[in-house]
Amino acid sequence: MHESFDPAQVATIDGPLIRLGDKVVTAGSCFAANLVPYLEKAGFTYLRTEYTHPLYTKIPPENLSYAKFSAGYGNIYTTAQLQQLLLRALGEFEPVERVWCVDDRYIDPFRPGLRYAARSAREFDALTTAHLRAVVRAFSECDVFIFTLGLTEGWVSKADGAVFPACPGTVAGEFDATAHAFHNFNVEEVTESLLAFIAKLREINPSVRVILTVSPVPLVATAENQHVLASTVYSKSVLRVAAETAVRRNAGVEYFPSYEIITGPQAPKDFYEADRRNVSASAVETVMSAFFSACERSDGLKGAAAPEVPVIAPAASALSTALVDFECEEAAQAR
Amino acid sequence: MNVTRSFDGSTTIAPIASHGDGVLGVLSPWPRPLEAFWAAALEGAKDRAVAVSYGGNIHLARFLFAPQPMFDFVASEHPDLPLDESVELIPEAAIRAELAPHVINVRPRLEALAKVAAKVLYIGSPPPKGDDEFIAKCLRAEKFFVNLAKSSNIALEDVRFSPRLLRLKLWHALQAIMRETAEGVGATFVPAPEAGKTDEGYLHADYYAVDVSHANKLYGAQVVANLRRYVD
Repeated sequence: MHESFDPAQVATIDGPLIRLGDKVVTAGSCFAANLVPYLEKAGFTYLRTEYTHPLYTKIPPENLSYAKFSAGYGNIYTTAQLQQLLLRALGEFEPVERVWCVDDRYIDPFRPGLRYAARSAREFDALTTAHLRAVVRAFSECDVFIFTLGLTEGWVSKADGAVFPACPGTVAGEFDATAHAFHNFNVEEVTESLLAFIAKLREINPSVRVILTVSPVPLVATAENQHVLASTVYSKSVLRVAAETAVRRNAGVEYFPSYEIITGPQAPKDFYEADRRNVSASAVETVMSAFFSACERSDGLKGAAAPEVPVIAPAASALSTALVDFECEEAAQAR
Repeated sequence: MNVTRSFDGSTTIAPIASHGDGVLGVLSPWPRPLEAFWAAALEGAKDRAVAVSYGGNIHLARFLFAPQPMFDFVASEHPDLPLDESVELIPEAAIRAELAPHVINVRPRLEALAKVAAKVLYIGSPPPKGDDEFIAKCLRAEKFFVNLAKSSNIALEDVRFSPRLLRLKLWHALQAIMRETAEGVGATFVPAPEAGKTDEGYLHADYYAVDVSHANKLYGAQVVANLRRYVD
């Protein structure tokens, strides 16, 4: 990258992307999860409505990105998946294929990698309802919604078009050629679902500001009969056009050029790891630096430590442990 | 239990007179010297039926007092128990992940015993007491706890118990973990006797020991009678 090149100048945005005190929600592909610790470390308010209980700090963390985002939706790769999540949360879409029973686990096809999956049908219903409520809370209470568009390729249900985050049978479940199909969303479909999502989001949160980004992570594989490089360029091109269309058609929707900063010809070689797929830490830091320069800042905010995870209950559990230990000793001595 | 000789502070096996001929127990000081305790049990296990009561109180050790924020969960083996939808819902699998490590420790001990014993029985713990007023009284009368609360700057009147239904669900979850642990090493899980429970599944008041977490000798007698059925 040439010394005179300033990544912050790639963004042409009116007004701050995020203002001090704004509640921020993010969603999208794995690149979107990378943003969260930077936002929190910089002192912005990352709104979390699920997986916040201190119990989760004492056990192995939830798999993949389920506990990294505002609610436990995990990675959302396609705009169709994002639109579908909001419609499900609002009770406006109920997938035909809503649960996979595998051994003693009730798997959510739309969150197939959950470590802490339901163990009964009733628990599945209760957890799914609670999750979708948490989605509504996050989406309706945020001031800023950041979405990273990740993929155009997806796997859908032939019954009702429900979009799965991964091909059934890969993370969980079983692939059934009579029920599941590959679909590569075209530019009209991606744009339509993105615009429909923004419109629906504004029904429950009229003043929300939306920031769109495109993931710079290339596809690891393609289900199209072509080279993965060709599929990557197609996919990113479609996503970029859809994002631009959404910005041009909606006030309060901005595009932040993280994709361009990392993939453009000015980008240094080390913006990707040696595998030439994973984005390097220095690239993410460059992007976040440019991003924060477009946000409202105060000197005191810069570099602020990440807020501590609230652990409210240690006194109660320490007391009960001490008490039970004492009673066990008393009982043992009484024998 | 009544042992046939006075306890000299060492970890050893001794006959338990109150349970008849041929019944032995491991005597040890507290806190238990774990290796010596299990070595003594193993030493006496050859060709005998061995009953193990261990790790059954962790649900109360972790959650007797109301967690903040409050949570609830669906107990998979008792899915019809009411669910408090006004508090945070935690997956039962996460609850099990919290409780299980405390029971998993006993697994290699049971496994070692199962290799030499005629039979290994893993005793389920008594269900929780459902009478909050009773356990509150015990707590207020317990000098150890009063002093502990005082030194922790916690006012006794501010101490809140977990809802009794949550305690019951936690106990059910723990019993399932204990049963699976036993079955995983070829031991037999002996569940809490039904006669010791109320209709709702809590410990019957007749079997309350005068403390927060334990059952009394009458309940113990039921457990012993139950064990005999598994041995005979």
